[in-house]
Amino acid sequence: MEELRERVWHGSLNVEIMLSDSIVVPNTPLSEKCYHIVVLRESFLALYLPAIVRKLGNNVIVTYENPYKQWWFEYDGVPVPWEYPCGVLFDFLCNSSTTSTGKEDDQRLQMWKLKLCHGNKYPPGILPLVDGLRQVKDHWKHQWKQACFILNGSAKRIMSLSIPDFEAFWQSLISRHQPDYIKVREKLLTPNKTKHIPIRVWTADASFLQPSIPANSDTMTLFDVMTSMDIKLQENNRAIIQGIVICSDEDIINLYDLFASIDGFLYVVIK
Amino acid sequence: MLRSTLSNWREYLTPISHTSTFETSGQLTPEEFVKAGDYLVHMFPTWKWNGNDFQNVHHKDFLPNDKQFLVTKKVPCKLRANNYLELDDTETKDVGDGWALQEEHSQDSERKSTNNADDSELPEELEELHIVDDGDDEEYDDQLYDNEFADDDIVDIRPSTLRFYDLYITYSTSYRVPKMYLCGYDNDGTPLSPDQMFEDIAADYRSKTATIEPLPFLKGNNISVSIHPCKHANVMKVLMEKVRSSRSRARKVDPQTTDEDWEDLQSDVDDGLRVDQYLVVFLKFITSVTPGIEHDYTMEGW
Repeated sequence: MEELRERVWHGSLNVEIMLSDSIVVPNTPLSEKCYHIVVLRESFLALYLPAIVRKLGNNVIVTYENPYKQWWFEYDGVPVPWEYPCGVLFDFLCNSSTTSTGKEDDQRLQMWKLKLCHGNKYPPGILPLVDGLRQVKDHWKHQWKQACFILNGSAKRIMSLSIPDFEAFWQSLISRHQPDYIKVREKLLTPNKTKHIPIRVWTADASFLQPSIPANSDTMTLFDVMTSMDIKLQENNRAIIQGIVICSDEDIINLYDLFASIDGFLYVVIK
Repeated sequence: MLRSTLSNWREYLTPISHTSTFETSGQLTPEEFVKAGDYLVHMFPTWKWNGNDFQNVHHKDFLPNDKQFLVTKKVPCKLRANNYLELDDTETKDVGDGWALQEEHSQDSERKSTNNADDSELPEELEELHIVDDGDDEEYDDQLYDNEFADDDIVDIRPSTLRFYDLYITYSTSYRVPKMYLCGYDNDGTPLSPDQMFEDIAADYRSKTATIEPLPFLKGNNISVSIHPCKHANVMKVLMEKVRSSRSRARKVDPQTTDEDWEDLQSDVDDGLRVDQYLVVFLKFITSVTPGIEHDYTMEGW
């Protein structure tokens, strides 16, 4: 159990960030407009912006105020939202054929190719990131408030966290200190008194759903949850959590306990 | 005026104590006030410290320069305090044929029913006007739409009872508790007179604890109504005792589970409130004094 949670915490993705053609200085060599990094599944893309902009920012034709404002990522020409955990975005946006490096089967490396863009106007569908790290933190806090309410029927637990506790919670994500994260998370959850499961489902037709799933005393499996949402799990329509295909008779509470993301929600991608 | 001058002198002359007694006496030291204020501002950001506006502020030296008082602005106040006594008797009232409004909250229906008395004062032309917004008529929209009523099916053209308040909390040295000041504004921004502001204070408190005075911590003459802090310590003591006994009772009943309302957040035996939660509880109490002023009394900070 512990090992599984640790693996989830440390799960990572290989990402290639390439400067968008519209902002790169002409004739920049490939090595200076391309940056390969390992991004953690359980974090936010926006958190990586300062490092990326610092590395690539010398070769852009635009002037920029700070590493957060007016920057965004695109995958396959589609803007990538920053407000969901990286792993979820990867699972939803990519399929294995577009992410491999094209080598032979046994040498194939999964890589997520993103374009870094900048502009005065954000493309539609992107939340403007105007307040940098503070905005990311606020957004994350609000997701947890939601999750706390869904779990307990009231947001009291997170609203009564002392300031040091709350800051430790956020800091545990930045410094990747899992024990601190778990310590505060425990204050927000009561194992046997969960009211509903915070779960978000992204379906193949790009609809994003947040169903209300009560936590009953009888076991509820992933299959039951999907059926209640009229989603049929089959060979070409599988449930992916944290990048792996999950067997549909897993207990949903167990799944939440092991695989829920850093914003309090269990994300299920149906593909 | 004399009473407020006297109370300001008293504040000035009382020595500051820094020993914590908050659990037994319900009082706060200045440091605890800052802690509680930090917590309030952190969890409920509609509240802010005074910050770096040094020009207009009279500073007290026992509080940090940027944390002299807490303020929240433009808090809505839909009904007068007296209306809240009537809410129990009246459910949804029929508001008459001319206004087939979709009523969503009982408060809205309450407002319309208490304004029924005003109907007779409306000029005849208005009474006969049955203005129905069916959403298709652009011209009507432009002329008649008031942003506040954009969701209603019928444009409400009766005078609004909506007011706004700026609320201030500062530290009272003589009573060693927070002190509340209210500055009210009408719907169109004109400052309210003290008599009008008294309408938003519950009758019980109106004559006994509400005082008219200018804000002592701001320069210039800002007329406000303050809530006299003499009873605050006692009230807070009682409230905190309630929390403590309720939590320890819940814990005795079942060590594993606790009562929903009073959750045990600390692993040690302390069942009481943390001092930083003081102001959240204080604001709940203030709701009973000013029932109409909606300063987010739904916050659940303990």
